[in-house]
Amino acid sequence: MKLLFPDIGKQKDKAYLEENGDGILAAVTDDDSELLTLLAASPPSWQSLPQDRRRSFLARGLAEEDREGNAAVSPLGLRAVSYAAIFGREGCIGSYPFQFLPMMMSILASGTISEKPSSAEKYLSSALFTSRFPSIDPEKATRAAAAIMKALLYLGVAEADSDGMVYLSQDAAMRFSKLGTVDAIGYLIHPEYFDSRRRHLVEALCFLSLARGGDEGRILRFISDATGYCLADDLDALGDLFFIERDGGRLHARSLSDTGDPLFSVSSDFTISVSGKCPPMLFAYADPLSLGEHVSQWAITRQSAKTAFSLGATCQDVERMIAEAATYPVSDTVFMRLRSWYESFNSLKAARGVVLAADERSARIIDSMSTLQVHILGKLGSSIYLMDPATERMWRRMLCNEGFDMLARTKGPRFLVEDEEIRSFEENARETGLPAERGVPYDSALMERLLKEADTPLKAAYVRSGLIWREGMEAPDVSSANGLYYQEKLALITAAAAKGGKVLAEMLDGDAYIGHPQKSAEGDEAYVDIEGICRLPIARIWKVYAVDSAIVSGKVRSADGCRSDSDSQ
Amino acid sequence: MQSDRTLLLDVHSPSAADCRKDISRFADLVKSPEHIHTYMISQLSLWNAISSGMGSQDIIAALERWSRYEVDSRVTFFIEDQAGRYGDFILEEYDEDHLLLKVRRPVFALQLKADRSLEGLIEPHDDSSFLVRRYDRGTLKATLIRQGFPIADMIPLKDGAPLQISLRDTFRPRDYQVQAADAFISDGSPGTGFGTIVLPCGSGKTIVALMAMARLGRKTLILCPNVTSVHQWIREILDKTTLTEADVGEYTGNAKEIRNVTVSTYQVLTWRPAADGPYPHFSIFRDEDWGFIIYDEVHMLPAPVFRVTAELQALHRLGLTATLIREDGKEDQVFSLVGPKRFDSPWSELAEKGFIATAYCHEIRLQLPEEDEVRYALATSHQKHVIASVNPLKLDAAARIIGEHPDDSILIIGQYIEQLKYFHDRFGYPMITGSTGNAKREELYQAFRERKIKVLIVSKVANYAIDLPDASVAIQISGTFGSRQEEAQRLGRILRPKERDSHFYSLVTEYTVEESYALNRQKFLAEQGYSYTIDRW
Repeated sequence: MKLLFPDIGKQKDKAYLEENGDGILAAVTDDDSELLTLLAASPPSWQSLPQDRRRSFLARGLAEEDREGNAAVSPLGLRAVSYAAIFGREGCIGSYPFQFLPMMMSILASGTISEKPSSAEKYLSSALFTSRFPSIDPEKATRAAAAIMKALLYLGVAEADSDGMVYLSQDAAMRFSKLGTVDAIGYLIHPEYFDSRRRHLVEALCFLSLARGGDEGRILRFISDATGYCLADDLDALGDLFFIERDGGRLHARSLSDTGDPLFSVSSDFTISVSGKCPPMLFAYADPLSLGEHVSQWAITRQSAKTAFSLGATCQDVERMIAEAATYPVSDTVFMRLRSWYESFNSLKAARGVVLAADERSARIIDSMSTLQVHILGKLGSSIYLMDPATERMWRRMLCNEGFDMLARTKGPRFLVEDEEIRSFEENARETGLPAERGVPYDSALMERLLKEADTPLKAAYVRSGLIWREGMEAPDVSSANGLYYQEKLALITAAAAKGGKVLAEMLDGDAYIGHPQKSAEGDEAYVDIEGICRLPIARIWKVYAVDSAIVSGKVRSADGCRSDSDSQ
Repeated sequence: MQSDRTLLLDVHSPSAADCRKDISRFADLVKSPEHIHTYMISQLSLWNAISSGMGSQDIIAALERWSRYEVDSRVTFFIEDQAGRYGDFILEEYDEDHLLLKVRRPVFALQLKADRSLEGLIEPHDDSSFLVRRYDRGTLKATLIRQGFPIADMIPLKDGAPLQISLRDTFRPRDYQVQAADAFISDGSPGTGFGTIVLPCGSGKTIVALMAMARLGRKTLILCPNVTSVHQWIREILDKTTLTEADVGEYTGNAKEIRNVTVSTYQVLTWRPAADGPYPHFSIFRDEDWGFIIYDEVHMLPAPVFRVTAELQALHRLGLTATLIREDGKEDQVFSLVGPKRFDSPWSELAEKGFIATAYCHEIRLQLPEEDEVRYALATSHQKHVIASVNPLKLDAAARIIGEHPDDSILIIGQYIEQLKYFHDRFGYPMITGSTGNAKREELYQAFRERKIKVLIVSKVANYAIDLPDASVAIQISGTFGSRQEEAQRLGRILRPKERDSHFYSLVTEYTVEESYALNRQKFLAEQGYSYTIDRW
């Protein structure tokens, strides 16, 4: 790699950069910062950068490249990155309504919603339902609820019983409730994804959660480049689930950080006031009353206690969870009532199981097997056991190990027990690893001064490329060809084209451009290609300078810019 | 502050008391359990604040001062909008028979003209005003409030005949009683001098009323739920004011005395010989030159009295209650006809300061005897309640409680007369039911007060307004299904401040419908911060 400045020897690189780092960084434009940010988030994006940009970053010590061509943002360059440049800097539009999902799960757990789409829609759009969410537009609440219900049914977290009423599946609901917000949203918008795709989705959502009014297109492109996942088709669903708001081409994500004072207050009238994230299993042991912007209200009722016990919690579990979460002491009345309900719950039970009938001797052995006991749902007699069908394989193995290898297959219909796969990807999701703001902001005022002072287009080109970043720096001497000498121009351009370098083309009217010198296929014409602007035949060019490929292409100066050095001729 | 206009006050905050004082001016206290009190900004509470001189910006400033989070723009919009409506409808004098309703905005005038529910109530006078018959004043106000249009009633209240009355200096009112009276009387400008005071049982609402009487100095009619409370009022008036027996009359089934201060019952006023005939005693309202009407236990205001109350809008009127819950849901009518809530105070606050007794509530769970289990299982839902309520094991439980409180004055309160008689026969304690004559009731209450009787068995006649200062234990053996009000009122019988703590026992048959009714009954008290221990005997 050719270094731009002759005095930057490899031995002096680090020292030079340390000494001049702030100055170099102050000349990094916001556009360059954005590209560096993308590179930092997704190193493979290096290859998609324009070559002059790559060379420019390398020349300025903002990126480093190894022999294989793999690049990364340098320690200096990391001080110029910021995700705010892409994701926006506007204030937060509000906190994510963390409690909507637990409330919806609680309502589902109560078994009051029918599986039938028409009945479910009727209920979810009724005032009875939407009035619980006064801080949310009723239509939006209905849409979100419908989406959640559909996804949970798909995932097996919710199921329909024989009456067609939806309820929660014990283990799956517990697993789902422990997911973080981003994981949960990922499952809700795409319950059908396999793990590999879900991982990318979750990562993309983590990035999206940084959006603070940034341009929608830019954000989506960045996320797509950084994570390999395109969110464009998911934006409506994400809006329905309160994750984002879209406003005239700008994206805002709701804050996922819980900044308010947490509150979990249980009163003796059995109501719970909660702010912030819900403690575990609240959806199970309390009924939702209302969701405000800051505080939600729940009530512990006989029915909600039954839901919790049905999901496998004991009274002690619920008491412990309440006591651990409570901000203030909880009245004994609440716990006494819970114990009373638990007694009622335990007074009559129904379970599906495998009946294991043993003779007296076998029963004595079974009773003594301590590790087997957890698989016994109950005893129907002194030697008749009700075994857990979900763990049949395990207890069969245990019995076999104890010498009961003659135990035949279980007679009768088989219980279908599926192991629901609900895993968290949020915990291992790559973070952007980027700071919110640059360490050194772009000093546009300095750059403007340097440009004004730039007495030649060549110097201006170096200023625009960030290679001159302080007063007193001079542009290096480079070879040039005067416009009067066509052959000299042609020779310089031919040589530059052969090396793959760039030229600065100064026009008679004073405009100047940086571009790639090229020759026509026939070889009889030469021109300078200014990317995205024009192609200049050399006949029209007044003066040509051979410049480093680290100089960024494009228009350098307009006619009312600096004096051309040709004026001195 | 939430966008549905509820305010949640964390009472553990060091500035909770100051905050409460501020927000009480424009928000109603909904409930006050031990940690978080709930207030609500409603149309009525806002209009009440506006009519007392607060501006919308004052209210918003108060919210911004105390709110932990930014105040939602929907709330500020509501406040400004509702405040802006105040003054859109103004009621003024017109002639002897009519009042004039002025409407500020033409669009509202058109709306009223087209509103069928107002037909017969208003008559167009010109493009922006309507004539209203005087006796329709209250009905009109109630109707328009329901539609979201508050009327600024600028008609000065009728003075009524003067009354020379002042308070004796033998007692000193408590500061909350003074505040309540001040809130009611206010500065005497139009829009004041009528309303409801909500204070816990035993906290001295009567004193507040006497203070209001003394400040107004007008001929007064007092309405009570029963004859016993009529006598209590008369005793209090004679004890605490300079009025004499010649000034105070009883208008009940026993006597028909109309004097400068007359105490009557709702029952006598709403009695009529024929089911669809007129109410002969309503004339007491119309024929006398009253200046002030007091509705004791205003939550019990019977529906027929609503209509007459609507006609009495010209008078100062005060509603007193501890529990503004009506199982028919007509609390709003009470507010709109008698007047808005002017003052309330959390029960827990008064208990902390010792103005009402500290009370411990116990739910005692008893099994249903085996021989009744099947009968219960096969019974209808109404019969189930009866079987559970009259569980014979409650007798032994009551006996045990009485044994555990040898020095207390105890009330045994029940719903079913047969059950009470059973207790009376087995224990031998005196009993008061609806069939007990008034004289006998007075005699027994007096004996109870003098501690000549330690245990008194009472039916629901004793639910309301009976003042038994030393009662410190109440044993509720049965109740009216899930009535929250009844539970609160019964607890109220033992809340007069005294040297010992009070205990309220509710005997409940477990695994029966009585359990769920009991839970519902306890709701109001739980919202006031009372918690029940549950014991199984």
